Amino acid sequence: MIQVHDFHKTYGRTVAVAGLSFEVGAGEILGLVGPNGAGKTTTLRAIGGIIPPTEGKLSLGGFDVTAAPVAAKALLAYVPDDPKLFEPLTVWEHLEFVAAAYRVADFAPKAEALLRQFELEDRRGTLAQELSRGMRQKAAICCAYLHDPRAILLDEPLTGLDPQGIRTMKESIVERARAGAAVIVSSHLLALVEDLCTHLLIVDRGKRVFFGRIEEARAVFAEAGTDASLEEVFFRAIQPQQ
Amino acid sequence: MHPGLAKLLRLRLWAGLRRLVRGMRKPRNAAFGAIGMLMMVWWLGSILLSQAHTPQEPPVRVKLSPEPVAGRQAHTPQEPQEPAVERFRTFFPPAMLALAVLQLFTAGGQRTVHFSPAEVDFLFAGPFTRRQLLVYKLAITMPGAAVAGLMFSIVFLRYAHTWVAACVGFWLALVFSQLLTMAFMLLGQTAGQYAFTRARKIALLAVVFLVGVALVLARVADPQADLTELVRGMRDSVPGRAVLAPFTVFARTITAGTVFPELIGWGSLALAINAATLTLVLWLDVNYLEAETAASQALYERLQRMRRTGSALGSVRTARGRVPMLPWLGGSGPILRKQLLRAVRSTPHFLIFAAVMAAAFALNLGVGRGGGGGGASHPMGAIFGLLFMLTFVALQMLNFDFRGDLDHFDWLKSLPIRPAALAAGQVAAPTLALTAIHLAVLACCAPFMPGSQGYLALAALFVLPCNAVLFGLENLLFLLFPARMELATAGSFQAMGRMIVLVFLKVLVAGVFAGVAVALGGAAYLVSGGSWAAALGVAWLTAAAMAIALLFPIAWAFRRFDVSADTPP
Repeated sequence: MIQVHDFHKTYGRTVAVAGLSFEVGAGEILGLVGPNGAGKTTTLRAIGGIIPPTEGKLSLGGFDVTAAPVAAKALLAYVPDDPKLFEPLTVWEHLEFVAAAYRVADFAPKAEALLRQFELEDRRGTLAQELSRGMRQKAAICCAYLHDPRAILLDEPLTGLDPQGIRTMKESIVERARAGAAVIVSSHLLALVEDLCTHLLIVDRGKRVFFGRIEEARAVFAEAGTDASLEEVFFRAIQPQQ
Repeated sequence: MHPGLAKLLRLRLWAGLRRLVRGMRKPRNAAFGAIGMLMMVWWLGSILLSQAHTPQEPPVRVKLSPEPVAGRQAHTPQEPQEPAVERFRTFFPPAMLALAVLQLFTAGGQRTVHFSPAEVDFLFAGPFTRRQLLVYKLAITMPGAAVAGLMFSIVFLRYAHTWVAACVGFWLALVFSQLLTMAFMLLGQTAGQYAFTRARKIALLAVVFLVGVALVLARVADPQADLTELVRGMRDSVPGRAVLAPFTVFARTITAGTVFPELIGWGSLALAINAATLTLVLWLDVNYLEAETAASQALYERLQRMRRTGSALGSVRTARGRVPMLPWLGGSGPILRKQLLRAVRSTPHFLIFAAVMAAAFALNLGVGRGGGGGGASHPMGAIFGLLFMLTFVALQMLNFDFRGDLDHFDWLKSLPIRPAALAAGQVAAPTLALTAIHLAVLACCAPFMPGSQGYLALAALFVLPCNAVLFGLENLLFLLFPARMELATAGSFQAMGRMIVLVFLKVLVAGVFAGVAVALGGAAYLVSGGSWAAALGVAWLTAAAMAIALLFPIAWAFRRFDVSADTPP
């Protein structure tokens, strides 16, 4: 579903990402981890068609993100770190807009179910500017899920959520993957990645350090032990780079 | 347009109206809104009434190209004065050109058109083409351009034959201005940053060269020409016509005398120019998303800083500048030091502004003394005018006090410092900063005014207590009616009303304070048998006492400030 091949992104002389390749199939959840400045957000933004790659090919559901951006984006939901909403619009009006943008027919029952799932039923008429950080995050996720995307990109999805929200969010990610979506979760919370993800991509300074199943990561970084935590695996993985 | 984007447009328009109505629900906001609306009606009404009482000029003969001016003999004193419409046709195209050049060269880097962070998050990753997004952005600016066109048409009505033509013409001109900037920026992105920077320089040089040649030609043709004749001569020269051609069309639309053929003819031409520019914009189809994402993020952060600090000066970009540790002073010392640190790290813009003003003023005085005849005829009046203007600007910009700490009130309230001492520390920083600027200006002016140095010394004596009173008042009213600095939006009557009421209150209270100081000083003068020293001493002490006394209501207002209820969103 999500294919990234030899992706490079440079800003002048600064190399943000250098030759990154990976794939995420339907039903898979990829944990994208790496230190600050490793190129995680740049990668997500490039897959989302927000920034063009300097080199390489990125595609969603077979559509090249650069050559056929609209077709690719129609399959995608991207929730950035600290999502910004339209301040003067209500939560429900955001959903109305997303439904129109992605041409979701008869969106109301689906939108109501999402608001219920994320405990925003009583906030449907609230202006975005009056929402707390966590509620904005939930509203953005409801918007993202409304059109049943086949590829989901989540950048630090748990930021600002309360314990109930975290649980709902985790369950929803697994649910979406089971329904056939390809999900990428970029996070510094390694416990979350370990909990949720089927695959792991470790990047450091724009380069791929590891890509594969989480169990394989433990095998590759064997000195951490087969029952090593993801945190131990991660530090072993990036150690030679540092 | 994509139905999703059309839906968003409708939702945002509706949200704008809703915000206006919701804002009126609180009695205080409703009162501010009503005052703002009344002021707007009064302002526009006074313009319209004055227009109604001005004799209308007859429409000029229809011509599809500006007629060259034969020479100076066409404007002898015996002939009637040039009609307002003709003056407008002379000055509007160069003014529009200047605005376009200014927009082009002040537009930040590669920015094409501003997308808000929400638009970046929702639209850039959404199923829209870049062209659809551009059309959406243009469409969302149309109501604003229409409102602005309406306002301009009323303000400049005396220069137009009909209101309808003025309204349509200004709207088309504003749209063209926006499209032109967008087209240049997209062309720039097509060329790449380095090439675009060079291209912008070349374009600027070309425009300056053509305008310069046109001005020289006009001057050569008529060495005695005044400014109007010079600009007209430039407009009618070959390079002037070349540069001003598109802008002239909009001037002719605004000043059309008849619906047909003038308004229809010139308006259609203006519309065709806009359509051609729009076609160019859409045809370029530049991938602006990345540049806009970065620019939007930078702008968002700058606006957030402005919202937090309440001033465009709020952004501290350097850790340079030191302030020594101050004594405790009941807790005022650390607060004052914190604010002074911010002051020394974020005031260069204001200092440059003050220095330019002072230098221009000193130069003016110097020219006057040199017998050039262009100097100030009342230098003391001019100095006080300069000080007044600096104070007016500084009261808004130098907000190193409670106004700039709006997001830190919970922290300020948790400090083990008495509110009065805290208020003293907060108010002292901008007071000292402005006093230093005032003293520097007075010191710069002193060498040019040997006969008035006593007055300057007197002014220097009073700036400190006066500034303390003014900043004290600013802080008191802010604590009572807190508001964030917001970008002005069309129809924000509440903000306008609030500003009018607060300015009125400030002037009223400052006037009462000044009256009390003058009255007590006058009384001291009489009691002491005509001693100016006693009068001034008492007036100074009164002003200082009032500045200190103001700290207590400020402290009270700070205590009653509820961070959960009073902090504006």
